[in-house]
Amino acid sequence: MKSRRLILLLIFILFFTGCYNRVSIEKLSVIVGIGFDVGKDKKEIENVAEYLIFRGQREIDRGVSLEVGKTINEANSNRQLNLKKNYLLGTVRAYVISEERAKLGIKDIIDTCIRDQERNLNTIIVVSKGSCKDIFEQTPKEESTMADEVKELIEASYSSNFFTNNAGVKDLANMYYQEGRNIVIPAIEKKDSTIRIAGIAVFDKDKLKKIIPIEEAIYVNLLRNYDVKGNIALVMEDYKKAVDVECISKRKVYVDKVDGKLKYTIKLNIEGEIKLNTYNFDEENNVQKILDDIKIQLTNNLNENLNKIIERAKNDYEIDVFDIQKYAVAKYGRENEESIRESFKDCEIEVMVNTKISSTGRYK
Amino acid sequence: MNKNNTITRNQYFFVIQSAMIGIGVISLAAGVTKKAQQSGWIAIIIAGIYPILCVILSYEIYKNLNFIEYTQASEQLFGKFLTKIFTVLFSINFLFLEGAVISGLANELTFSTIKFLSPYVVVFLTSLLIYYNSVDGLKIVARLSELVFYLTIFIFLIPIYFINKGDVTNILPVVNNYGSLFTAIPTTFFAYSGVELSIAIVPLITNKMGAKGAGIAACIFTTILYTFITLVTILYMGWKLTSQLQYPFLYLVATTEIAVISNFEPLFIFIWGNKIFQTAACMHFGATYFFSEATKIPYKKSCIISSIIVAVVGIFMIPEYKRSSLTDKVMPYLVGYIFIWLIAAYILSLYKKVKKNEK
Repeated sequence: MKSRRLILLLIFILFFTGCYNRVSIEKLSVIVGIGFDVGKDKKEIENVAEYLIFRGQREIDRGVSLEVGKTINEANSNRQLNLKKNYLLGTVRAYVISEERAKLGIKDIIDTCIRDQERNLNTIIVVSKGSCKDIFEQTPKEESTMADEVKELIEASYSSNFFTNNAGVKDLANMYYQEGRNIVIPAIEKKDSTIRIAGIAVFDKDKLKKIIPIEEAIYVNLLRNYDVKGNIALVMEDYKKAVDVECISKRKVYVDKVDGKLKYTIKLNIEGEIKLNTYNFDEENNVQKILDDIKIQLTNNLNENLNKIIERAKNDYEIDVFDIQKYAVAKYGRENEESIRESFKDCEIEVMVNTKISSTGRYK
Repeated sequence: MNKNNTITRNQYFFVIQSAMIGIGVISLAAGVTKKAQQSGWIAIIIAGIYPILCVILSYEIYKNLNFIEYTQASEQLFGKFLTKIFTVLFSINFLFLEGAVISGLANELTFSTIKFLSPYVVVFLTSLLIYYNSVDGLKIVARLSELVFYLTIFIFLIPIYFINKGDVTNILPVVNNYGSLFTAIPTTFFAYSGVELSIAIVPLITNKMGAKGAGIAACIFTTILYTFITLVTILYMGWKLTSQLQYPFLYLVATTEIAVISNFEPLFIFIWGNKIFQTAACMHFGATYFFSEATKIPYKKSCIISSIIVAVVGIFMIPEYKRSSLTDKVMPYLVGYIFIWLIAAYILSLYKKVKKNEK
């Protein structure tokens, strides 16, 4: 009796499952990349989407569509007027924001990416120099779509140039909402019919402030990130007399108040592995002497470059790109956030580099 | 005493923790961070005193009265008329809580996984299943609670994934404003509610030795789980984003990157839905028990009636913002009532005990 009642109940509930009036899977289109752009008059929003087209078996093509609307989702629904298939937003691999759009503010992008439950929070988000259409309209070389190329590009950048692999929507949201932090995400650009990383884009609240070129971005990254990897080249005369050190950096930040001014001390612990050494290759093999020499050279090189970048950040970027103000906020209270934010120009930043050579490679 | 209605000491642990842990896990962090900012997790620890006190007092009351059942005990303490009022109030308390839990489940499911169903249908189906779950008495509810506990315990492991991903600056300074800690406490009441079930079920435990300990263990387990989840959420996202989300823990789960699974969120909801369902079932037992004691309708019949009432209550709280604003308003009064009842009953039971000893 009891089991019969249960079975009846379960069968009854089965009637409510299923996806009536839903589009079946073969009629779905897969959107892989979305670009957020703005029209020429800066009033209307342009929304670029890259999608896959399935023609029979093993014939996959891709298309790019550009739609205009007053808001992001209006542009999205306008797309359905052209596209012959329904689409899902959860499959997006990469969002690209154009420089123009980012300068106008990305508050709506952050809001819809978090609010819309269909969107995935792990999607990569980058800024592009130039328009999004330029990025998506190229023919992909290494992957099947441009969005995949953007994604792979950002994910692969982790192993060098001191980039982190935190470039998802969730990390953007964290940087936006946590006090004393600024949004810093990778920037890409079109280069000779493909794309490359152009540097890092720094936002002030939700508006793009500046795109830092890659030469400077390396040192900003080194000061900014924890547990990242990159190469430092010590060139004495030319490439025939140089040392390459692959560094893994770990940073610690201390905050103090000196004469009413904030003083940040960034301690960098750098562990290096020598990858190339033609500098004192011919000399007698006193390992300790070589290592000491390289260590001093590396420390001096880093000190010089990092202090240069700090000066530049204070006078040129005028915004905390090193992610250090959060320590001041944590120490002096969250209600002082605004004053800490504004005091960046007057504060003092000291770098203490501590290098250690962990390996000299196959050679002694 | 109906044999079907008795539970063991261990089952008491499972029932109490399962009556508390439910919808609170995914939405708790939002309320406390809105009031107490980054120190919201401390408010949860402080509020953890309420369930522990509730469990201890209800045990002591029945111990003083030699573990007679609720109605007899209440009649000895307060007399017949007041007992009637109190029983009705208890039944309203549980009906409201259960309605809130069911509508919370319906809102959460239609928000995330089952978009093709209307929330009203989910409320109807859930109350149907809950009726089936609790119609055979406390024993079945307790057994299912035990099963669901073991099925869902690994949810406890998810926050561990985020511990080293978080940034310690997000929870510093530890306390900014001590006053805000206390204003944050009422927002946790809904997560801790359900522990009042101990008032009904303490006399139904067969082996009373150590029942108090089992109850306290369940409360401590719940407090630790809540605190841990809230702490990790704040550690990872910061209080500002946490306070603006509807389901902070669900957001946290959605950001996990696990190989093979593209989005962990639906899987989590599928598993956690069972836990919420069991919370509602435990509360439904409480609601039906007090309802049948108040109206003298037999348990099985009042189970149907209370199911219908609960479904109606749940329908009134369908969009999530309606539910949270209503529970925020009502919860302090319900908790206040239960607190006053417990203290009054404890003092009276002490007095009764002393009187008995004098004789």
